[in-house]
Amino acid sequence: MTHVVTAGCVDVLDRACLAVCPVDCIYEGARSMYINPQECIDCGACQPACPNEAIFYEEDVPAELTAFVGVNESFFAAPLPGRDEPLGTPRSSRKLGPVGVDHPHVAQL
Amino acid sequence: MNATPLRVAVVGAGPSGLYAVEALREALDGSPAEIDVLDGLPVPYGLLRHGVAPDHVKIKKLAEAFRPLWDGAGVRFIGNVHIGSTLPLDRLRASYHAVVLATGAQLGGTLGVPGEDLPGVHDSATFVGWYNGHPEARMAPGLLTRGPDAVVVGAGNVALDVARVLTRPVDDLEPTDAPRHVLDALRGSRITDVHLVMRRGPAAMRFTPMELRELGRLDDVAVRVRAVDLVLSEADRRTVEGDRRLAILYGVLQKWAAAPVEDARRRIHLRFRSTPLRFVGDAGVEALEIVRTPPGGTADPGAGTGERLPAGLVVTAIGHLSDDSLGLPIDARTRALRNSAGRVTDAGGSPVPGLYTVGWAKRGANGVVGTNRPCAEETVAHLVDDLRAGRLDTATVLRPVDGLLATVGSWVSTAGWRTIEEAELRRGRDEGRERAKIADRAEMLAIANG
Repeated sequence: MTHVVTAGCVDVLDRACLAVCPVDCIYEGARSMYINPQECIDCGACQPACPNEAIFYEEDVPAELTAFVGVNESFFAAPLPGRDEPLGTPRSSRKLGPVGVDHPHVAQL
Repeated sequence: MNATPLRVAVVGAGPSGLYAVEALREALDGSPAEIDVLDGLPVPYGLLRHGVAPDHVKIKKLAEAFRPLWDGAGVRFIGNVHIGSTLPLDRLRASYHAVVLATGAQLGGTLGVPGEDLPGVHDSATFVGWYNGHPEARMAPGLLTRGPDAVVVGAGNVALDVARVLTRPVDDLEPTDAPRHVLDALRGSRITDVHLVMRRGPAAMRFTPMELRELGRLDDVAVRVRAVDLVLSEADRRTVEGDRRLAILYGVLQKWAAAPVEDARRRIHLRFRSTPLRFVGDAGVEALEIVRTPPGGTADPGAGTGERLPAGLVVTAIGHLSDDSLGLPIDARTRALRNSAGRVTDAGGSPVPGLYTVGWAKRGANGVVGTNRPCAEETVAHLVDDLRAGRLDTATVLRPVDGLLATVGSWVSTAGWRTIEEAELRRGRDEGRERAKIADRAEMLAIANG
């Protein structure tokens, strides 16, 4: 189980979640943030920090947004458009900086 | 910036103090600084070590994320030095350009009802500290064997932690870092029923959904919710529907209330709208008397409808407050040190030069571990502003801190606590788990100085 960024973040990118994440596991795409499920420790700090209520605990993701569970996961587990390797576990979004691309599901929104 | 390194003391090696170190190093961006992190205990990590429940393994692992801080040049751990009792704050301040207080909130809140001082009634700081191996958090032997019932008072995640640790099969806790004597005591526990007593109704729950739901997943533990407790006044209904967190929590409660009553080895009873009136007992607590409140109504202690909840153990988890042992004014509202966005202020409201605060000591006891990060960054930004604007006294020659430390007795260095850590890891390996915490201060000191 982990926390998940959903549609509410797309084209908003408030980044308040980034400031409170103790493990820097929330990464910035082009139009949305993404939570690395391998790195998230489930502290829950990001959820109330998000002004758009875009972040849910996996189990609480509303039915119409469940695709985002896989979106967050494969943003790291599968190669992003134009890349050969998956992002994997970079261990710090602060150090990595914006990734600059989105998961295809977000890109087509 | 000046040629002599900036010297900063951070008092308290918990997450907020360590986020302050991280923010300082980032803000100073390579200019010379010497940062000492002092703690009253021989080991760092504060509530990460002594607050977060042992079965919340993922959050405990956050300590690993702090590890690189100690490897950075110019950062030292100075343990077993309590600012206030072993070393007065004023003497410490004479050795540093700036002091950041990350001292947390040490005092448990009190209910203020008769019998609260009976043996067997503990605040959550003591009970949580005990199961986490805090050297000073001692429980009288036999507290878990006085009877089948325990009462936990509170509506936040700490109350859930306590209820969970008291009920979950001890085999689940065996792989954690909980001290051996704690696991043994829990194994011998006779407690079968934990009553979670909350003064107010479901609209006032402070839990996070993740933690509440966790109760429902424990092996051989049944959660009991009474449907009558879920009746909401019109105002409460609007509150619950207008807040995503509360709406999720309320949904969890509804599901539990509607589920068929299952039998289990242990039970957690959620009791809403129950105001504690008094603790009853002679040599030790035997029961808590509560009065129930109607939805949307107020408790009437004189109504004579007191209900007795039997309890051989009571844990009150109703918040924490900062103490005034450092001689600094406490804010009546936040119950933390009086400050302006992290600058400690005096009784007249003026900033005390060179004195700052972060974490619970700054904002009061609220938020989760990540909340401390932006909190520390705000304070450090002010500290660096003050430095650059010449508001920190960098002209007076500082007293060398090492001479000062020599006068306070045995202190523990970074190398010293790592020796303690290695001993804990070794002890864990011997028991087939990752780590087994050492809870005795004298033993820790012997290992660190050995």
